[in-house]
Amino acid sequence: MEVQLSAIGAWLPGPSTFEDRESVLGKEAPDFQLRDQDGNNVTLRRLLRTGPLLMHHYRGNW
Amino acid sequence: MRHTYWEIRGLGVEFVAVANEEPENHKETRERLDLPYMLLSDPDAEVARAYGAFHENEPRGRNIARPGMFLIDSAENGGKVLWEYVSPTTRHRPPPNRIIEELLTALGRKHQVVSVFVPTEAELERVIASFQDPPVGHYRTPGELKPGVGVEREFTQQNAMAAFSEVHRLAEEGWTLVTVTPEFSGQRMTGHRYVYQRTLD
Repeated sequence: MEVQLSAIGAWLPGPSTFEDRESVLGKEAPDFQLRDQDGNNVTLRRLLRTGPLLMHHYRGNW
Repeated sequence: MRHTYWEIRGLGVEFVAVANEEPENHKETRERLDLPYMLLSDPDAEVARAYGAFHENEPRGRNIARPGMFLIDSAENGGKVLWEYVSPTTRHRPPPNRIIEELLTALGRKHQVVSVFVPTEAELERVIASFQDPPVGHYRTPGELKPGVGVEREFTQQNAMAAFSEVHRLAEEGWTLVTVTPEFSGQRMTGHRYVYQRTLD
């Protein structure tokens, strides 16, 4: 999760644009309900009540 | 993202991380790494899929989420996705400075925020003592403090001195001090985070 690439050329600016995914840019963010680390239910709707949100999906273990 | 989190909060934006982990694992990770932000469990990658952050056909047949970041506007403003970044690989992620720049642009912000963490002397001694070879003189700067760019720094003895003088330099250069917040590891205070703001032109 904390891997960083420091070479300038490795950073690709702007939204991701590979063909096999459907972009959500500009669309209403899909709502969700997930559990936090304490087992509490958290909805996107509730998180957005207080302001904008940056959500980071990272690689989990499969 | 542990240090960048405070700069993101300084923009008035909350930050959460989502992964395919059970809450218990997230809890352990959060405590072990002293993470200040919420970790959410997305066990079947359903949410990752909904946001296009899941790749079905990875090489070697392992389905896996790619690192992806999504800036979502407040409910009041309609909850739209203002900015997204989905990694072309399973590990690539934008450098922190660039994330802050992208957020400022996407939010149409006129102000920029920088945070500097200044450790206590005791914390600095504790960190140095825990290394086999104390990194005195070793200096790691992932980002340079310059106009338009945030900074995060690991602290060593040399860096701690730099952190002190950086706080003074920000004040001298006309940045406004927004908050000074003590930070803790459990009960132990590790230092203070200074958050500065300035207007962009």
